[in-house]
Amino acid sequence: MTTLPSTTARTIRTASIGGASEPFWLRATLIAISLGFIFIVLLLPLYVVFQTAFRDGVRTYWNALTDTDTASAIQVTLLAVAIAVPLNMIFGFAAAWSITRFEFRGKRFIVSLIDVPFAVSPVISGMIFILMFGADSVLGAWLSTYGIKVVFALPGIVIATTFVTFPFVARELIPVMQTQSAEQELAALTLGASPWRMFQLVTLPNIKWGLFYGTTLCAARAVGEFGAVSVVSGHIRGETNTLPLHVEVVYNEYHFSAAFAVATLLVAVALITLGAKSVAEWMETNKTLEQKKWAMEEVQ
Amino acid sequence: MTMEHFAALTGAQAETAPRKAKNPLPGFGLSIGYTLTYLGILVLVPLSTIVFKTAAMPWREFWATISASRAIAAYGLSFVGALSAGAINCIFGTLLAWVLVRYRFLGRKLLDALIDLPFAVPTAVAGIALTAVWGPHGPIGEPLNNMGVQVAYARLGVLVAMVFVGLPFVVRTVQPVLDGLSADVEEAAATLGAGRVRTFFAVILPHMAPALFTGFALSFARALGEYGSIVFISGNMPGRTEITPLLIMTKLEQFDYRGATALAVVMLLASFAVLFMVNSIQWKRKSHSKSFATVPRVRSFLKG
Amino acid sequence: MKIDVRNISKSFGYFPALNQVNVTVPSGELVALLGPSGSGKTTLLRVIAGLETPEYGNVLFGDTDVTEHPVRSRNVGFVFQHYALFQHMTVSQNIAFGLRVRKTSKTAAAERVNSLISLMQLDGLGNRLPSELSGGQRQRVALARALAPEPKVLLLDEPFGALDARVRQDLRRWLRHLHDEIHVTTVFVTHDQEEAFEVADQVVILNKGAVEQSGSPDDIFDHPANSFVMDFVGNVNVLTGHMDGYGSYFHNLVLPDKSPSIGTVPAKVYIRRQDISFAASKDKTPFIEGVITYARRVGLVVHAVFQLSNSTTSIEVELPFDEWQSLGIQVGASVVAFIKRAQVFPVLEQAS
Repeated sequence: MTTLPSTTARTIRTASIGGASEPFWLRATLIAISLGFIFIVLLLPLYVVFQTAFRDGVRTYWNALTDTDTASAIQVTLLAVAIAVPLNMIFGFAAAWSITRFEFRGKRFIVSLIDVPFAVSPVISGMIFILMFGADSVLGAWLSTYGIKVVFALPGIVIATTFVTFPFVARELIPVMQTQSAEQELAALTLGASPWRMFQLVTLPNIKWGLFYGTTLCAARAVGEFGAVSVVSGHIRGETNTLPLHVEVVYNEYHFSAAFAVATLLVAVALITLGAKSVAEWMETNKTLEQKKWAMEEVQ
Repeated sequence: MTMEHFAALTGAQAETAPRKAKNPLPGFGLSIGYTLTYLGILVLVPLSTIVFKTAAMPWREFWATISASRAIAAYGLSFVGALSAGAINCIFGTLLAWVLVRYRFLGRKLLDALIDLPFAVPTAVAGIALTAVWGPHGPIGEPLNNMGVQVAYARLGVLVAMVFVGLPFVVRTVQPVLDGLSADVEEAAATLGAGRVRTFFAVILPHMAPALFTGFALSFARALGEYGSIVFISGNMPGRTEITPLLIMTKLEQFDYRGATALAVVMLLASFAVLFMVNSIQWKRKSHSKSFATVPRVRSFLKG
Repeated sequence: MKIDVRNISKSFGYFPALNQVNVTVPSGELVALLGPSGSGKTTLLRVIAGLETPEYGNVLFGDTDVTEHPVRSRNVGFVFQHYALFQHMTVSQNIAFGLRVRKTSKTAAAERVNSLISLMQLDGLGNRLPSELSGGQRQRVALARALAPEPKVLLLDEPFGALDARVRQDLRRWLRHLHDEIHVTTVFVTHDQEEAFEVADQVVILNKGAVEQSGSPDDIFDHPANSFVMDFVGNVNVLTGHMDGYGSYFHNLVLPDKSPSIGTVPAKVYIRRQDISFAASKDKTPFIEGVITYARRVGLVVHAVFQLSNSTTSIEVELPFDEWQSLGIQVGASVVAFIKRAQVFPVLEQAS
């Protein structure tokens, strides 16, 4: 019964709302302040993005999106996403599998390392790769003798993107897999499943919503990363600009409506991410509710 | 059976080495191998460059860089800004969490989903959008400007951006704790004659204090490192509206890698100190609170 | 398939979970591993399944040493305590899992699944998800899933532990009945002695990682090997007496237990609650006198406490209500008690 505090608490509370609740005028005021705050801080900026994007007409909007530099920025962004996301998905699963299913020394150290990109300013995240691969570093000098350029080129963008986005899948999967014990996987093994079949038929279906959401976050962040990529990209128009960098370049040239037009693409990605979060949470709540119901029956 | 008894019995078997305990689940070698290699290449080696770069730097130069007046001004702005933004977010974040958990009204679910917007919107987009709203010709900036209050291209602008990026951290850490607080505690307080205000300060606030502090610290850390949304709105005047990450960026653009590294060391120490505090609080919370499980999800949003 | 557990030792850190355990499960028998929590019974079951690696010793299936074989090639059916059903699969898909991963043809698998569904009395539930089933139904799905690939041995970890009392009763008999039909070598773990005695052909009693006794239920009940077994099996009164080379004595009473010892030693006297009866007159020997200090009817039996005269020792007694009524005794009455059966074990000098 101790595993069910939130649902029971909520039921009780709704039932007793008259007993320990605020008067109507206070409730209304608090809700009004919240809505007003959210309107000013979150909604107004969102509205302004679209308003400015279409300020000079649909044609200008369309031209900004179909501009060759925009197209190349989209390409660079997609390339970074296409490399960073799969690598980070594999990492996320590998890290979650070893951390939640096995005991070994140094586990907490690994968990803290996964948090590093969260703790570090994006500017510093970019900087470490300049220090590592820049022209005056040993590695950078060695690579340049082979004509390989990392910093201020595409490889640098991909590496920086991978760095800032690598924790997302792992961070989603670890709590999900921690709550599911290994018993279902062990059951699959006793029934004769090979490791691959166990993963495919038992592990994957159980983590799919966490994996889905973690991957969405990872991809959204890979598309939208600004600071770290800004440091390593070198801002070469039409070559090493990602979408957010392109927005900055266009904005700094005072082509406001064009900048906001490109920004609407990024806002769309953000809204899709929020939608994905709601879907994943909804699916998972359903599942946990069922498990709770199950646990309840067993207690009774 | 005593330990000696056990030892005596197994003594006969101890002549051969015991079999190693083996986890029947597959894939440990592969998964830990990938994890360690990945973390090594992507995190440990790049981070170590900071250490090498700093070690190769004369102490005098290091000190001169980090104590330059422009740097001090940048720390001051970053620190005071992040602190104020954290405080503002604590007030409005608690209010939002309260309203979302306790009240039922039209649009509550939408409001709940919108809270994550600053996590999801790329910082560059947030930066130009906030500038447009709070700028001299923006829907809020213009009336404020007429009253003589300048937000964009001033220190207030930095604060606005920091509030924007940090808000979700407070809401998302406080929300589950409020949700998990059972009604009977409050009802008990009410039956004992405590008014709503008294109940809030005596019963509810102490209960959510650790979560509130965690949210504050996460919001603070995020604001401290924030770059994208601030550079557009702040105006970037050295000594006045220049934040520390921007100063690092400026040094990098001038190929002053040593100077940038020195400032980065200062920032890293500050953020690690904050995260260390958060972790120690979370460990404490973990021991007596089930709502801890929701914290990792919030944290995975950090910088997102 | 006969299971041979030879000299198995296993520890978790400094905690010795199993200590040189030897158990033989004859082919086709149903054996219970019985013991209190922490006795190592579940660890032993997991060692047989290959879910734990023993530090020393061997596990043999028939003549094959399977100690080093991985779980998935052992061909054991394992029923987890909380069933570990695949929650995203229907009942049929759960049962078919072992066949699916062995690449059994679809028609053969469907046939086997259908026959198991009817054998397990799960008709009509094939398309349900585990979350839509009752506890007893989940239990039977787990059993069907384990049996589907025709395992050489069936292993069950506290199979009735998570069920309520009535369902447990039914399933117990049903498991016995099922075993009589399919005759697969079966080992199950339980902490409930009634369950072990009712279902198993042979009971192995474990305590602190070692086997205390193994034998048929009757054998263990009638001839407990030591005081632990006596204490663990059934509700007993533990009293202090002594024994010498001729017999055992308790409270100036010569006991029907004849086990002699060398020299005079203190002894523990074990008397089951049901092995004491009362009478109004002293017509049988040996008897003891005392007072009824407590009596309460519980359904068809009476629970009574009998305090010995000139002593603070109390004995708990359980006797049929009919008998109690025909004796016509009340609380506070002086009565004579007869001991039908007792077990006496010498108290050994203990190191701990």
